[in-house]
Amino acid sequence: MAEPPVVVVGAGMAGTAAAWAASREGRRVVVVHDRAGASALYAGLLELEPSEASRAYAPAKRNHDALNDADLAAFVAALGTLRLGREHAATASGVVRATLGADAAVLDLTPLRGKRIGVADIGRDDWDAPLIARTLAASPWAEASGTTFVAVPVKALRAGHERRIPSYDFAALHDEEARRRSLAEALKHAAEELDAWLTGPWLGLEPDTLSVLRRLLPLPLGETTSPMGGPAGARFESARDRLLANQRVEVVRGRLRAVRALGGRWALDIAGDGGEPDELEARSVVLATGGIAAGGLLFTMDPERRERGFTLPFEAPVVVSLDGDVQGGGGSLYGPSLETVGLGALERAGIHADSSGRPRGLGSSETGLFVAGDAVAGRPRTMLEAAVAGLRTGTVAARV
Amino acid sequence: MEQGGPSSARDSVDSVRSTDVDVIVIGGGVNGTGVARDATLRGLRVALFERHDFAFGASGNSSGMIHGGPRYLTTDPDVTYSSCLDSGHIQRIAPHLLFRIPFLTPVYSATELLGEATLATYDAFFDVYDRYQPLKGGKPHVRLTGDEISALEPGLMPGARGGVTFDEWGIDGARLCVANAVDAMERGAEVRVHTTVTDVVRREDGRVLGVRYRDRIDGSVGTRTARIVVNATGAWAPITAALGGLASEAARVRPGKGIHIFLDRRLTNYAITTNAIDGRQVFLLPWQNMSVLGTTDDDYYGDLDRVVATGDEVRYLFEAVAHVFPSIWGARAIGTWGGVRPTLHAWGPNEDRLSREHEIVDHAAHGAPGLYSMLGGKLASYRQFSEEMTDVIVQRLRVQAGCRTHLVALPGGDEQVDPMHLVVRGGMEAVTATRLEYRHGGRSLRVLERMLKEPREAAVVCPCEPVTEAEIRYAVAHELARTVDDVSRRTRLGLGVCGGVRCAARCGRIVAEMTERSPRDGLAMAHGFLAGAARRRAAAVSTDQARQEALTLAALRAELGSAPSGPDPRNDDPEQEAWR
Repeated sequence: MAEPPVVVVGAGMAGTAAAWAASREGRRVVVVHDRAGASALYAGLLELEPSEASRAYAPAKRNHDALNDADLAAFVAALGTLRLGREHAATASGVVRATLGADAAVLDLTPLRGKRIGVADIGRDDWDAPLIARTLAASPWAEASGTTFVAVPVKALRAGHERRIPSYDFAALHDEEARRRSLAEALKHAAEELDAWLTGPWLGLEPDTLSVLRRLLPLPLGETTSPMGGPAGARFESARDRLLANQRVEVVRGRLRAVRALGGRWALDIAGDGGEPDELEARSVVLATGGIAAGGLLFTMDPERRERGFTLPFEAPVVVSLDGDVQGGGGSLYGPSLETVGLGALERAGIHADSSGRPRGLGSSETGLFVAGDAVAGRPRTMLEAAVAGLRTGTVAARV
Repeated sequence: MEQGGPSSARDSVDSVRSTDVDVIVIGGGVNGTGVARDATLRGLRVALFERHDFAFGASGNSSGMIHGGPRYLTTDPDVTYSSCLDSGHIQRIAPHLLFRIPFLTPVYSATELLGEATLATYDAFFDVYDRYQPLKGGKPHVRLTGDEISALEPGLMPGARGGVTFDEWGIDGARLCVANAVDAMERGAEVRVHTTVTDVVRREDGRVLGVRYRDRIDGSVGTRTARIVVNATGAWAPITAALGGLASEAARVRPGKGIHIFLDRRLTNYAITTNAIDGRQVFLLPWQNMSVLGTTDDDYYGDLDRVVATGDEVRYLFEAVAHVFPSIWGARAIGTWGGVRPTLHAWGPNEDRLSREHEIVDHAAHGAPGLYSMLGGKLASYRQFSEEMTDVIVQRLRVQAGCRTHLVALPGGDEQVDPMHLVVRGGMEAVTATRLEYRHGGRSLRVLERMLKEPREAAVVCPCEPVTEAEIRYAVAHELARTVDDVSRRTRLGLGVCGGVRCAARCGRIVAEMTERSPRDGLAMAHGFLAGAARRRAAAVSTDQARQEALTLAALRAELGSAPSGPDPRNDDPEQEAWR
């Protein structure tokens, strides 16, 4: 009988990193996942530095150390569509954000300080280039660095409806060879003297679209961040699928219903894609099920539900906490009042675990259960944090 | 110098020469804008000051109904008659703003006999109400069997013995205020929003001379003199009276907080009425493109500038409606409204029993001739109340001019526009055109003009509602919008399912540009709007909404640099949270 695999539940950034790390340890790895989560909807930035608005707060140093993490560098290289490093990115709202890494399609503004950047004005409804350029030019970053942003008309729409389709669909059009060439031509023929091009999130879903465009164009070219559901998340998902396939990680589509200790092993009860139940046995388990944004945690005020407030959608020997307080029982039939704890509680609640991803409160014999990413209470909800935590727990889970 | 009292002819002639305007109205709710319009229609010179924005208080936070007052039918049928008559008037002057809301009252009772008796009572009651329905273009009621009710509203709890329908009209209260204010402006009134009256200036003998004001956005100050000052500040009335040196009791109201929850779609075809646990009547009504669940009525002692629904109030309403419409627990709340009724003061009765009548206080009785307060009232009777107030004004100023507000159409109400025309000419999508036409009536053609002149303005900025850039610019240029919140009140921008994530920042850029403020001011405005929206939503976040909220916070943080998320026990800045 073969050794049971390491099972990773969830295929967002944390789950992908955990699966990659565990398979690199030589283990058989199974990833169980269902539907898109927060990673598939992210903006394209790995870790945000506090904005100018909140500069007064000192940022933690720990995240910067991640840039020297060899495992992280190797994982990001394997994924192939991300970039690590201190850089600046523009958002479609005209804000310049400092970040530690981004989707490779996002334009890094850091080397473009003091330059003249063209904002491609293509006439899409969601892209008000003149106002975006003016807002970026008036940002504290641009003012301090003497960088200018100008809207430059570019003929990039081929049909009337392209003005209104979602940025995701518009980006997908540029995966066609002919469209790549015509976009590059249109950018080349714009009259202005520029040092770089900033576009909306439209530069293809396939990674080679970007390399083709950059080869065809003499100037640096890149996107702003993506809106929710934009192409950055889609690029992550296809990079993940390639990576898991390369690593020969087995992928099961289904939803976790329960995880139970089983004499030194773990038994997982999975509701499969077609609804048929599935049993999986695991040597160790990484719960990378995400927070509320991914559906890995629920918030309910329905008094008819047995579980109210913050609850997990699966059974497991773990508990949920908010701001260090273990939830459950509760003083209200309806769960906590969000107007008193703040909507931010939706991002702070999660599985009660220590910083290395071990759930608190497990019995001493119950080893091999780990939590990573947004599923953990009180951890930063960023892609970089999820990657670092996934790599760490994946490695440990493989060594159990 | 005369000692107060009624003014002499000589005095009024002098005043005509020496005052900036005839009438100053304080308050940009439906009564204030209604009086401003009525007075300008009668040829008077008017200035209006609003501390926040049109419809900021009760006018924009009511149930959005122009109802015929069935609740007065048994006690005071004259009120029902005048309510229905005025509802008909409002329908004629602003046909674009009214939409039909058929109500359905299901009857559940322990025994068939009891059900029969209740239905017979309802039937007889609405037979009488039907006599007034033609005044407001309403349809007669229908008595339905239990099976018919289940067929019409499958979401209702099974087992209804039967029920009755009755017909009412819905309205966007903010649009009604804007329409009145715009009409007054076009007839020469000076109207200022975000401008607070800091003093009601009085002569030594007590007579009112005018007001001092301050612009709350740019800080500029000024004065205006007038012969009459009208305090139309709703629940703020006692505060306004105090600005004139009067005791707050001179304009006493009993503020009653009412909240509404709005849900992301039309959950029912009919408005459903039912009783809450304490016997109060509550309803779930389809309203514009969403459903509204309301309402509460509780004495309010909080800050009128920051009225927010609490989770406690939200759950009371959910419980009440779940009683007859169980699937409400699965519905997605996208926001709440909190407003404070300026109910007439009385000590003793519980909130529901308080009169919804209105009255005019002549503060000559308090030594301040020329100052009047409008107290009480309701959205549905605003035109009548404004007429009564303006009658008092013209009488005092000895002007011969009758009311015409029931005859002259409000802006946009004089011309019907086929939304298909907007689709064909402007290339708008049908839903965009329909919503635009609803808000602006005939004036939607002016928004269309903008798009034809500058095609870029046809861009849809708020995809949920939807709202075009042209409409935003029109609201700033012609409807006094000065902030993202103002635009939202006029257009419903940012009030849809995404909570403004996709449109607030862009709207802020547009408003900042048009009002000659910096892009950073525009972002700050967008932040203010999003923070307010998050605060209003927090109390009503349900299971399905929670996921969306978490994603919204993440998206806003990435896009704008921080995400407004309301109170946090340790820190206000969620971005700091992420770095903890």
